[in-house]
Amino acid sequence: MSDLAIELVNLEKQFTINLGVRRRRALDQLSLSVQRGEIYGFLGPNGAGKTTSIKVLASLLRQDAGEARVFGGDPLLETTRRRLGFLPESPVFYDHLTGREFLRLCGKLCGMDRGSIKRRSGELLERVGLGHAADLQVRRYSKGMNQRLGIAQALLHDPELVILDEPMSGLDPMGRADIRDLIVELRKAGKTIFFSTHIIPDVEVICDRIGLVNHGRMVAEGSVHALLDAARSKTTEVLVAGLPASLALPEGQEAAAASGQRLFLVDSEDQLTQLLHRAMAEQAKIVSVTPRRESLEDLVVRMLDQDRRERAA
Amino acid sequence: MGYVLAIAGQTLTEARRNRVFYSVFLFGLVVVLNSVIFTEVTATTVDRVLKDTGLAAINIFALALTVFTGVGIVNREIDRKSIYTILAKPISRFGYILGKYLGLLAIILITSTAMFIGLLVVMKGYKTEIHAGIFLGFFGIVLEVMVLGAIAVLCSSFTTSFVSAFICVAVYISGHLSTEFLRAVRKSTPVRRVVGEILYYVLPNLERFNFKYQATYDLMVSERALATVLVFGLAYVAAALLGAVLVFSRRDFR
Repeated sequence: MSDLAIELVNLEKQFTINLGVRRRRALDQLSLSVQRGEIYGFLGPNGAGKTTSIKVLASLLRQDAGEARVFGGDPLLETTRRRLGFLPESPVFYDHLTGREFLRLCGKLCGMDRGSIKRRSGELLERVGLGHAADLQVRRYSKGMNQRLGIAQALLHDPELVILDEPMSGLDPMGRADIRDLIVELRKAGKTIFFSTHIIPDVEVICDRIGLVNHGRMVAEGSVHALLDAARSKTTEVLVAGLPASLALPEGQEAAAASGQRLFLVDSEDQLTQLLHRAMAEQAKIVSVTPRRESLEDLVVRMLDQDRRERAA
Repeated sequence: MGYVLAIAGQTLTEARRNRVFYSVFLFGLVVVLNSVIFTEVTATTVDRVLKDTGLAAINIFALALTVFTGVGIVNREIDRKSIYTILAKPISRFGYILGKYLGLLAIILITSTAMFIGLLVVMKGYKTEIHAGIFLGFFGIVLEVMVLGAIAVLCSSFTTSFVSAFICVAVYISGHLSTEFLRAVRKSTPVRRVVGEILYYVLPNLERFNFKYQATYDLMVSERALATVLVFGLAYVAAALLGAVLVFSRRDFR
């Protein structure tokens, strides 16, 4: 049994544009792997190839080359798709069905029996906060309610793998927090979650691993902690008070000065030690010594910028 | 294949909530108005006029319903992207197309049968004798819209509603004129003759389903002829749906 829930190997996809006159490469030798039971965040700017990759996994698109596998099987097979739940980006449902009726339809499409459909629909509608609107026609739903219904339908048949394309889109902060909690809850229940998003702070909080894609290629992949550790800056910020403004400290680069306090940046432990000794010798007060830490958002922006420069070169 | 029926059921529910079945009431109004007007101006053949205009009205309403509902049955879902959620479920694209067609068929059969019952009630009201011929006429109409419905689903699987509607209407017109068309091209140049003959054999000869003459004059056709027409209609439906499945199975949904 494969330990991988998802495996994409050298995936390629091109789309024709301008009435077939031009071709645009959406996926360029994209490879990634998602372990069973992990939360994988799929990041990248608009048009990077996230939705295209997800659509290949959901059997809505066929790759031109490369392989896509879900639990070792081809997503084009119904038996493989039975094991996954999918939320498309900005989901649209049948206007004239109620939320409950739509879930009933989804249950039938997944081969569930009537009793299970009724029980799971009720549970999930409550869980995603749509209990009060279960019998309202979908056309009366707000964008956020649609998103919640989309998540409910993806989880209805209790799939082992849940693929969510921009699950936080259209949700207010409370809604986002709900979905974050739900994703963590799913992992505790042994599910694998693969989701794309632009909201990087959410990724930093809940994901085990991330993949950063740009122009259809994988730019970086790994655990959130490993990527942040590898990218951790050696710079330390030292805030000093009571140091005469005229006195220069060659050990550190001065970054700012205000209200009698001066901020220095040092790039090594030796420099830090020297700067602290000098400051104490001058009878100054050391207010704080803080290692400068890059956030995941900073890291992503920096990596994308680096990728852009490499491409330009 | 339970999911095929689920898709058919959803298609029917959506049509019902879109008030598609209101067309039946409009039909009823047309038939009653017709009968009132024609019985006033016709001296002896009230029953024939009733049957003739009634079946013609059923034919037009059923045809309009088939075209207007059928041409958007797949591509509307593609345009709205509601198809993404459905096709990602463990279902086959063949099952999806079949479900959509069965849903369309249910819509057509329910409305046509309701209109036909309405016609029979009006005929009974005018004390017109109801013979088997009128059922034959209705059978022909149902077969014709079944074939056109399958063609609408085929077109809907690869093109826009507008183009699909255009193709369906063109098939309907050419399907009723195909014999005359073949006669004309046979007298034409060799190239036109070949093209004309190919079109004749590819497009359905809808005149085969036209039993309105038999319905009006209470004539019957042999069981063998009926079976031939039924097999022809079902074969054409199967071929059109197979074409739709072949096209749809290869489609990417961007």
